[in-house]
Amino acid sequence: MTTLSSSTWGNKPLAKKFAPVVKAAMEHYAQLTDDLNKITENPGLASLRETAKQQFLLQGFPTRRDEDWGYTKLTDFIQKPFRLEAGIHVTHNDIEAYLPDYPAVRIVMVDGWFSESLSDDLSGLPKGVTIESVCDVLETPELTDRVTHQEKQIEDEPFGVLNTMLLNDGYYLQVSRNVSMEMPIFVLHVQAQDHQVSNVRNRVLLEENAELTLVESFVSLNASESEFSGFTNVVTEIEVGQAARCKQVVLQALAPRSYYFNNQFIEQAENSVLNTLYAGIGGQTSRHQNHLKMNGKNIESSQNSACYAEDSQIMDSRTYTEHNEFNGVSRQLHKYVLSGQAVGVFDGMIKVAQAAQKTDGQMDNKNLLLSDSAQMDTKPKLEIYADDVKCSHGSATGQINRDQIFYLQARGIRKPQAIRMITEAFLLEPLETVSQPAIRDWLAGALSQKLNG
Amino acid sequence: MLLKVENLQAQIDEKQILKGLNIEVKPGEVHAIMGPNGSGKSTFANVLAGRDDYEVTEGNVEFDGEDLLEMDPEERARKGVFLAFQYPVEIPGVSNKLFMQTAVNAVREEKGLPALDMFDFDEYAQAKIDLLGMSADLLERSVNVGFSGGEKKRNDIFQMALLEPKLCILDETDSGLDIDALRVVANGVNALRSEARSFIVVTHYQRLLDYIKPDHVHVLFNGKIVKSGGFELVHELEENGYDNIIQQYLGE
Amino acid sequence: MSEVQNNAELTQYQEINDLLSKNKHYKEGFVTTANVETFEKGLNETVVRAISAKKNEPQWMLDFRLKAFEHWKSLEEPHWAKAVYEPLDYQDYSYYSAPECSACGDACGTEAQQEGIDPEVAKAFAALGVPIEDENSNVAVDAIFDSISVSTTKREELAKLGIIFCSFSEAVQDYPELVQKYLGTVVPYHDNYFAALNSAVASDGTFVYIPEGVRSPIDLSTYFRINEAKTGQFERTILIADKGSYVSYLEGCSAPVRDTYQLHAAVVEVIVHEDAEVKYSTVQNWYPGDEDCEGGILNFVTKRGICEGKNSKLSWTQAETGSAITWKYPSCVLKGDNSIGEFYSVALTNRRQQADTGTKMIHIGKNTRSTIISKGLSAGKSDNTYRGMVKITPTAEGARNFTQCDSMLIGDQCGAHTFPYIEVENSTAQIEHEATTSRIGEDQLFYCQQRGISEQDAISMIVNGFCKEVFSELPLEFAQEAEELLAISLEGSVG
Repeated sequence: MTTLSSSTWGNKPLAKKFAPVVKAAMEHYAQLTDDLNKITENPGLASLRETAKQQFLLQGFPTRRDEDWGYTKLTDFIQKPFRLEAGIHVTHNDIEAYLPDYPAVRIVMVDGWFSESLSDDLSGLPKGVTIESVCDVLETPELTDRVTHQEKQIEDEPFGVLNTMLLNDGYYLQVSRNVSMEMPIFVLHVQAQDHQVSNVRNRVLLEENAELTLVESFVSLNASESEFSGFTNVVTEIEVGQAARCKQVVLQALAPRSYYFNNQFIEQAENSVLNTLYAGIGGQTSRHQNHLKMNGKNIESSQNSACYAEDSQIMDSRTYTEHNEFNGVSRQLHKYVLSGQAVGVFDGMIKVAQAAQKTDGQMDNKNLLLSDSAQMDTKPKLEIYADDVKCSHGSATGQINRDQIFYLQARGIRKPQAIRMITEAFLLEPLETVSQPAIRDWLAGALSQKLNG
Repeated sequence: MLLKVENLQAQIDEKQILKGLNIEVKPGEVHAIMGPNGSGKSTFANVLAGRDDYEVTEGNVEFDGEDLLEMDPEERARKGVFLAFQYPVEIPGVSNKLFMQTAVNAVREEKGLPALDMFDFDEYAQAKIDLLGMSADLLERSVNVGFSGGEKKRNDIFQMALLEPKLCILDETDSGLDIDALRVVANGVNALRSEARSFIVVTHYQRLLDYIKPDHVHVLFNGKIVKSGGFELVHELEENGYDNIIQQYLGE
Repeated sequence: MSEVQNNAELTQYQEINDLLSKNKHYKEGFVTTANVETFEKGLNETVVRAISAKKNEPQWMLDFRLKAFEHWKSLEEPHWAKAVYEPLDYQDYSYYSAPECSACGDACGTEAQQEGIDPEVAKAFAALGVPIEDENSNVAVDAIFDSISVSTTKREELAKLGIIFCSFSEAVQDYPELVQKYLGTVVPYHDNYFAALNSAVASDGTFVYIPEGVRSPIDLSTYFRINEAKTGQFERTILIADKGSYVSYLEGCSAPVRDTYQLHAAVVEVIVHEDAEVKYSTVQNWYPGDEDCEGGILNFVTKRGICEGKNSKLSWTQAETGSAITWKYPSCVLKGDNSIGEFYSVALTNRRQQADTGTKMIHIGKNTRSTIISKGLSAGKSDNTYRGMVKITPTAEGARNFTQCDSMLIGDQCGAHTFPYIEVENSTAQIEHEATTSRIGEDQLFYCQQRGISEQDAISMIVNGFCKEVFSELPLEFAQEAEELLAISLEGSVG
């Protein structure tokens, strides 16, 4: 007889079958793990990578039959095995153009490796602010735990598993209790070599009542070479302590043939505030994912994205937001402008646990299709287990409003310019949550330039 | 005596708001309760209507010879206590007509009167709409949904007319209204004044009172009535503000 | 619903009363003790052939069944819906059950209706308020009892207009060319697991054909009843609206109280030609099971319609209050230019019910429009999920969709979920989706109470207000029934 109480179905192990090309790619990345482990002196790290590798070999790469990967096809990616080789020499001149025009502490990562020579001198950081290379941390066996905290959740993501398999470097950033880091920390992630994996693992820790502004920019040095292709795979864990305030901005402006996967695992404690924004303009296939757990009372969070995709770009941005405690507020605005044959994907889930009464969650997704062959796939989801909540989501997809164009024309503005102005205003709206004008202008500049270029 | 409040003390979230309030209201009287923000005016109005966010810790309230505090909110409404809300709530999909027909029939049942069917109710409501000079589409719309601030208040006055209560409590009904809307509210109240019907008008400003002209005016401060008087007290307050009275009271 | 208490002298209704007193939430929960012929439990090719033989089916129908059965065996039971249950044992169900008609003392399948209805079955339908013998009723009714149709009323009257309204089994015999033309065209046998199962063991169902230019003067309706324990009901309904025609079709469902799950895996195919309009309304009140939803109906249904011609319109309206588990997505394929698809749904779950329901709107033709209004109410320890897809294909120039999904939670032990899938591949399309979650606010209740309305009345008023947009789409009698059902199903969920 069937019963409803049991939840045991579906646990039978699946012996997955893989196509030869997928199998080849899997073996390629497994080999990279073996290569890394050969030169590793930290046995804890080696075993972490090895465990992840075994899991990866079982589950392989996701296919379009997987619920979460139906809109993000990986066929092209799988056919290009990316290498993991020693870094090439990159000079200050090479990266000058990508550095911010506002005061910031600047960190540079080249092909996933922390570059001490290109980064600012970190000895002068204010008291209570620590920035280290993860590679340095990993030299000490007992410190492996400092680098990874939510390993299980990370390995639930296919690219999270791959990230652990190839774990080598990244940054470790800590802001101590009651310390306000006023100057933004700017991390430039550079893809320097063609066909190279940039595997980045970061950990950001804000202790009680700490404050941080973090800006990350992903670029390819040889973006002008049309065939240049890099593969950036990032996992970042962010812990926002009690009453701490974390502001983050991520700009992804990689070369048009590059790949970008970024999984951010964020945990917030009581009374904390998180404000994160993703701006996507580059990459062949890119996927930016926030996994946010609001674990204390009175938490505020805001997660926005602004994406512009053209040609055959696939641009995917996802949020998973868990309200776990009383009186949380979450706000999201995700905007996409798509031209050419671009595909935009938004997938958002707000999950409200039974204890999270008085939750106020709002998620909006708005999309503009500029061409007939562009495509937008959206899944805004709510999963609610508490009754005294205010949750809503909205999604709208369409063309530019003709009345708006006409209104501008009637004021003497030519049609193409009117369309540009309206499109730009549409795309830049999510930036309104960025409180520092210099950072907002810098981001807006990058988006406008791409849009009008 | 219609309403007799003795030593009323009440708290919300363990914070004491009313600290021994006394007031007596005879049939046909209009009382104004004024006071600075946070003095307990709205708390008093809501305690009388039976909102369970507020806990009564001491005191008695007698309404028409019965213990008001023992009654559920709907029982109080049926016996003739009407609260015009400071912020009338929206109820999507429920038409004002269905809502009020149900309410009117609940009150009629209490009075031992037969229920009004749809046709009788239409007639009855139309008479009240004419009396108050309101627009007829009010009935067809969902309860307060998409109403402007002024429309919501008018709707409350309209409901008051339909339910024919013995005691009307207006909780800051004038807040956020422009002068025209204010006049509509005041005219509505004046049209409904009668020998048998009493009012308690809770307000922060004197301007509504200029139209209504209350018989008694009380100043509420820190959960107690600190001064009572006639209509002249309104003008004293207008000229000198609350400070004088409060200083006087604190000095004693 | 008629008063079943009036018939208390009959032993059969004694049983009803007992059941009602035990299970006051579900007043359709009585068992009919007519003579029945029921197949042994189990499913294999022999059973499929036997069902076909029982119904005297032509070879093409048997072939269709066998093809579907072969395909079904290669599939895995889907479990992606947001509902937790163990895989079913398909060998533990009986795939054919029919009341024997008293006239011939034999289970004579489709002939039952010509020969007269078993009086026990007739009583059962009378108790349910289904007018199977009422010539003055303004609806035509096809009444289906377990695997077969027992009565179809008003058919002569309709036949004068050229309207075919009969059981599916009869249609196979009498209109084979029409059935062959449309069977499996909207929901192919390989569409999904339950559609394949249905195609293999289809019991009975309704067949409707509205000829060109005819507006059906009365509502057509089917009433489904599962009576036998451990029986599956696999009805197959086909509804065709030819050019410029119109029909409003209603369907209602119930089943007795049982302590084991009964399976309902129906397939409905609707074909709407140029300028035609179909309104399809369902009030689903299958037995939800006991307090823990043990023994309720498993409702796994594939309903899909195609707006084949220009300016055609298909409107689905559903009030879902029953079943232990509901898995149902009435869909519209909007192929004809300017065609319109609509989906209005109220789904209420209480106790441990699990509903995963919604729609698919597939826009293919130019200027196609779709509207989705979904109202989910969760109470008790239930889970209520809206799952819907809006797909705009590249050819759907100027397509528009508006979706509104509202959930209301009643109590803090239940869940309300919204999973929309929106795929837009045409830039001229305009898509809007909104979803909200709310509960019955304390301040709303207080406002009503302050005006003298009791808490229970206030709740029912607010809930009906919440569902109003959908109920206004139901035919009047159905809307009333739905409101009553809502009140009964919500009983005791608040307070």
